Amino acid sequence: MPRSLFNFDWFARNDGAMWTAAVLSILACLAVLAVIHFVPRQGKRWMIVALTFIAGAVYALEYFWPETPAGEPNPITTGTDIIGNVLQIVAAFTFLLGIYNLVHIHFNNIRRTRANWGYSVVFFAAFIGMAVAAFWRDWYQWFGPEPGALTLANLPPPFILDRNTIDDPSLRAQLGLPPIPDTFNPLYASDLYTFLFRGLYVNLEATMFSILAFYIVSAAYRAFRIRNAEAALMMITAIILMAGQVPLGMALTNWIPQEGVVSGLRIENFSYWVLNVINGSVQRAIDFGLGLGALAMSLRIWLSLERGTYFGQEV
Amino acid sequence: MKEALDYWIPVLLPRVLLIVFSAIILSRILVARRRQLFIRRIPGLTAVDEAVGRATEMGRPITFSLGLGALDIVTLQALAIAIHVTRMAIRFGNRVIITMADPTLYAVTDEAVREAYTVEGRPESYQVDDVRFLSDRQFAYASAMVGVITRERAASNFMFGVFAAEALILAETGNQVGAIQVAGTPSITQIPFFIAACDYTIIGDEYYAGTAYLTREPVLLGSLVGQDYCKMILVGIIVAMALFFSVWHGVTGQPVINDDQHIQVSPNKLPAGQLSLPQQLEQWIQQGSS
Repeated sequence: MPRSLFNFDWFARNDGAMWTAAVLSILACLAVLAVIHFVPRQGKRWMIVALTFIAGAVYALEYFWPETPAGEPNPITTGTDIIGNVLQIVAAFTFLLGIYNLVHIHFNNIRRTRANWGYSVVFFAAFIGMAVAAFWRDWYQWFGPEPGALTLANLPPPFILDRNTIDDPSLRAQLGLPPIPDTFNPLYASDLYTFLFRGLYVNLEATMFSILAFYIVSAAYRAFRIRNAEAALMMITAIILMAGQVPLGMALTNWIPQEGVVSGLRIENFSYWVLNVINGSVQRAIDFGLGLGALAMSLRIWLSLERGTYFGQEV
Repeated sequence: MKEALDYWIPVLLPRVLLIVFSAIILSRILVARRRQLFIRRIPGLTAVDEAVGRATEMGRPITFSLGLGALDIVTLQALAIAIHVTRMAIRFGNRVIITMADPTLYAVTDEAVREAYTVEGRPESYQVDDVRFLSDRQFAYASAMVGVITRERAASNFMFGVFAAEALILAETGNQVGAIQVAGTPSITQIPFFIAACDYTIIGDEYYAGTAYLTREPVLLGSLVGQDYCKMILVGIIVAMALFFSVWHGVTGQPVINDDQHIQVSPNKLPAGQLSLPQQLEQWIQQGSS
């Protein structure tokens, strides 16, 4: 059995109970799927309504049942952890759907030689390359023997040896392995992964982020063109705020005393006041509105009042 | 006694407020089922019709980004608007390309769009490629979305949901291809970017008014009115508390909040004797000239 995949205590027992539970879980899932499949359309809607209400009620009850003065959580909190785990498992399945969607779109691009189909080839090269590097990196941890159980006789080939899995210097010396080099070495699986992820992907991300600098300039140019009173006000406010952040701007009002009533007219203080009092209060007002909007939306979804928006008509 | 109050006040206050607000919203929903309610015009949402119509006239598709969010309230609201736009586009015989960064959301969106085509009587027109999971990494998603907008030459671009630094990249790309752009997000830090780069931006709780405004469903309108009642209560609480604490401070001379954080002090105010940056600059110039 893969070594690190199932290293939870319960699975580590490796007895009949584990396999019985696993098989029963799969059978139960299949039974639920069969029931959902054969239930009429209207019945499915009611099932969704009931499940949504029950799941929402668990979280609502968990919130309204306060923890004790000693800080002990209520009993439902443990239950919500289980629901969280179930959601993660469902999310893992949907990730496969996401991958299927990507593969489907790009495969069709290549098959029909649509415009720019070359980019789809790049997608497949990147997808396969990254997947191979990641699985290669993790293969030893999943399927290899325990590092402590390794002997010179059962030592795997060097390309499988991973700097992350046999990183104990004394064990390496005992096995006659050379010390881990500091620099990139293609013989190490994790180095290939790191090379692709940190050396390539992270830099591509940084490139996308850098483009933002140029877009900010072009967007600011359009926003600050004085076309009406609001744009003029925004322009003036922006100048005050920018001037309040740089020494050159601060030098303009350096002659105003630092103490007393008039100190508020110094540009750094005035810009701080604009940011924290005027802007801050407006942001808080927006936050209140958003909070209430989210509450109303949550109620509508919890009670299935908004179902017609997504799937067919309201139940 | 003090210990009991310290425990019960923070426990009770938010819970009671939540129950009261929920009760108000639900009661308004019940009232709305029997009575026609008025809702003010929201330009950003009115522009949805215009954007769909323009794309149809130009014979080019519509792109709709659901942002970086997972399957939560914010993204569900975005999805509701996306489905409304999709239904309109189906009626006009146009396409909407919906993209997202969360695979769970992909599964739900795909099903909802499929059903929208069925409801509109054109299930055969549904194309799997029109709902696209691009990537769950922020800038990989932004890069892919930029590619979609540019390659498809979108006539209209909608951006609803949770956005971060990629918001301006998407909005500027839409601007470059000449798309009419409508955006809405509860991410306050991204609203200025959308205002600068988009034709219409939906701000604050207008975001959650989207489905009510577009569908005019009594249930949704009722919840909007309920929200307004709750806002009035909140404003009342804020004004009452401000007055109460001001009077308290005036009478007792004691700060209401027992810490120093309620006193707003500019970070630019320096301790006595320490020179500010411009003063240091001035001193340095004077030293140089002498």
